[in-house]
Amino acid sequence: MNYRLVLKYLGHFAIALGLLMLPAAAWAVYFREWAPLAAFSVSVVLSCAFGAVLALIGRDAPSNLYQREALGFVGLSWLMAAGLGAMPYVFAGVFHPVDAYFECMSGFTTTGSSVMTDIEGTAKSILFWRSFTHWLGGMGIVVLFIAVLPYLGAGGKQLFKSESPGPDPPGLRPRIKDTASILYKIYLAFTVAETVALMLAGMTLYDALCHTFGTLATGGFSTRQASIGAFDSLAVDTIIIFFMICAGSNFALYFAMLRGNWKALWKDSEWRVYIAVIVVCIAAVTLNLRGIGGATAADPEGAQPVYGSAGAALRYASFQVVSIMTTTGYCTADFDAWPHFSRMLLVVLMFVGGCAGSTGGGMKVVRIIIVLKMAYWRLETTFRPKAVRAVRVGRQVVDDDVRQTVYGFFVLYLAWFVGGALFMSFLGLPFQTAVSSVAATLNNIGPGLELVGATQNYHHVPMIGKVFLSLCMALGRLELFSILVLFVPAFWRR
Amino acid sequence: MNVFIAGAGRVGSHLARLLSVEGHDITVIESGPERLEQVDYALDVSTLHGNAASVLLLKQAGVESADLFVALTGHDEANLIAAAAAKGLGAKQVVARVDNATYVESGILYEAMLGIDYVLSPDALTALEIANYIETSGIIAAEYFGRGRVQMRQMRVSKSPTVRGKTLQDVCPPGSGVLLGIISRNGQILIPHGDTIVETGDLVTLIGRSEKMDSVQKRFQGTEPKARRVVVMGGGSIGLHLARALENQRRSVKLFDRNMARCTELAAALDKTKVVCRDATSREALEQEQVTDADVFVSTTNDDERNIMAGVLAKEMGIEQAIAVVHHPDFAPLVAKLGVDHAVTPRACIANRILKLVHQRGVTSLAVLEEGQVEIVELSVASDAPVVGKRLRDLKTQLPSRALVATILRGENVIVPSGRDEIRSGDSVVMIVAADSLEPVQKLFLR
Repeated sequence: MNYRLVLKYLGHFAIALGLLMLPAAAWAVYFREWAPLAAFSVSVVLSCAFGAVLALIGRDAPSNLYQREALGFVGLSWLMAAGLGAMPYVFAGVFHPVDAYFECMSGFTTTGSSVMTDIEGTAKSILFWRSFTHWLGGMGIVVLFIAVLPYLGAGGKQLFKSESPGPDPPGLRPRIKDTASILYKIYLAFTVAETVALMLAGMTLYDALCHTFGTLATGGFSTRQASIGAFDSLAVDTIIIFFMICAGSNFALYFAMLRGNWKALWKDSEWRVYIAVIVVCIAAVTLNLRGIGGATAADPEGAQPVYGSAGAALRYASFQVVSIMTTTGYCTADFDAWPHFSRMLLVVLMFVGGCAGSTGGGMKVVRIIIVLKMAYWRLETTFRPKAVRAVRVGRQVVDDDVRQTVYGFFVLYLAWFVGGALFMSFLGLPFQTAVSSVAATLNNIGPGLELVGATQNYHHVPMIGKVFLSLCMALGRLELFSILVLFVPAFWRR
Repeated sequence: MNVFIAGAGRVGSHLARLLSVEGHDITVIESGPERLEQVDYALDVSTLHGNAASVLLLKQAGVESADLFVALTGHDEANLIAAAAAKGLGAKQVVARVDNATYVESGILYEAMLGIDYVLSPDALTALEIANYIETSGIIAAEYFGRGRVQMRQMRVSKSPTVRGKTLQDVCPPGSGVLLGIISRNGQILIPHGDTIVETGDLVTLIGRSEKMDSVQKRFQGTEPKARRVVVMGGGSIGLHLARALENQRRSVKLFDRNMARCTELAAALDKTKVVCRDATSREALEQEQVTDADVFVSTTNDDERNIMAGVLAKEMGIEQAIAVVHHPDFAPLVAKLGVDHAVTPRACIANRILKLVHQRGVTSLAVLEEGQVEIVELSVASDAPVVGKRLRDLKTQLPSRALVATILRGENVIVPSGRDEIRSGDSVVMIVAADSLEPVQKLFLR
């Protein structure tokens, strides 16, 4: 392990992160919030100083960046980013350090789980920083790093692969730096488009930006306690649904469309499954909300539909299904009060998540497709032992190596989920809360059920639980391996 | 530049590495998944799995926008088909590698009939490089540029006492019209300054006025008589090409090969060369064939260890100079340590040839040295370039540390510059640049 190189890059990274706090400081000036401004200033200086020290230690490190260093750097940089990004919260007196770490990790990993109890009463620049961490984490902070820094070369490719979601991240251009900057350009274009759309729908620039960050990164932090529900506008709901679906799709497909392949999205079988799942689940939840199998906790008979009109049921069902499936976690309704079937369906959707190469979390649609096909194939083998079949996604045959990795990922992911749920219940959380808190953080959703539900919050979770859930978020965002290896002793030895 | 490389074997992946370090967009096509994974892991290039001779695959890969397509797989036929197909699809320049002697012979005809720009054989290129080395007596590479007024020579420092232990300042003083550009010592590249000491066995690259070259070269190498008698070990395709080339240079050649059937073929193919069916790694054979007083011994088999040890033995037996073909690139720099005078690496020969094709706006690659780590390039300075009007001394902070302005060509004048000379618009500069510094240098001189 080339420790000094990792330190050097971490140093550069810390400096970059410090500078990225400046936009939030600018908002502090705009809103005349002097205490947060001081907090941001101190944080910028500390981040840069810390980074400079690390860079100095590693200044003449040999420049070989291999897979190990890449994994180490990506894993550590995320853990460190949440620490540095938490400083403004602490210095502004908003949070206790552990809460601040949780909130910041939730931001960078685009989870959106919050420990903030009084959102409207918090300084606006702090809220901006909270949403901005979403935006940075969505496409990947390390990917941004690759796009901007000139010197990473083939090492950049290892970094890119360690951070990008999905089983086999594609290279859009021969050089990884170009790939990273194209992804960011597409991301920026979406950001501008959504911000303008939300302003046309009546939001202020500030609100539009914050919610755009939350949507495109599939994050979920809002500037309002009641999330998107606070705006109570059909136009806002529709715009956000549209952009959540965009953010949950594979960004490589947008690049293909830019190159003139207009049918790229439609021809992609993962995207078709993704859309089909969304449509079917919206239909199921809508019917459920209209009283079909509509037993709720408050009304075990299911006699009364939750919403009086089909239109309202469709509107809230669409928003919530898309929000959970894409792992955004915005709310327009308290889905915790919905019928049992809808709640269960939403928890299942949490695990599916967005497409590979999107900003969404979860296990990703393509992995679910592969695992289900493999399972079916096994089933067929029991009565036709000699049959030979290829596992395909669309026309592409999935090779054995990818299959093994997906399988390993699936098992580890569920094992972590089960272990995590056990651990949370050991800390004294009730059944649904324990299960849904791990599901909601590991899959980078945000709100869970019951005590961590849509109208609730994570602030009452014990300290140790918050630290554990922060770890779950990082694991989910980096798809386990880049974080898990940090805990393997052999990884650090020579 | 947008470059496609078919085949990720030794040559293909080597070339991909060199070009990607220089900042080109590279796509590697390879049918072996393991090799492809290796490249994908180690290099910043995009990879594509499949057979490069498939026109459908090439089309899908977007070969029509390629500036250069190079087919380097192990299959000659596939290379010819792939290159012709790429040209048909619209690639600007295409190159095919062929190994089989039958195809090598008709290389030029293929070029004309299939529309391939260059049909290259690594073995023939290797043989040519060895023959040149023998011809120019110890100059490993020689290139002229600036319409012949400037020359670059690369040579190994022999036991000549004039330079040993002396600083560069003494050997090539400023104003001598010749500049020592690069020293390569045990495979390490040094870009020297005034007080660098030259050692025996160093590989030095001199650049300067053509007319001053001979006198300066004498300081680095004692005067050696022209080689007349050459012993070639190994009658493979390199050996055959080499024997032919040496025959043309009117040298007396003895060719050793162990295989009787092959020897019969060689004897039929070669006119004046004496073919001997014996193992040239045996003392007895060398003595009995009376070659111990030959001038040059060249070992060209496919086995690196045998080539190197045979060279060591030949030197031991009294042959003046030994040259070994070394396929494994990591071995090549070690050869000098063992007493063998020069190692030639086939994959470097073909990669260097292809690198020269990678022209860019305003840049001509004149020579590629040390496995492509260093290039000598000629740049025409653009009128709006950031360097215009600046003295070299003032450029020190902007210029990458591994880049050196060797000569300035201004109209009819050749300037071997010192820190006081300034760069003007319209100048051509000859520069020695490490591969990874080429991109920043271009930005400075070309905009």
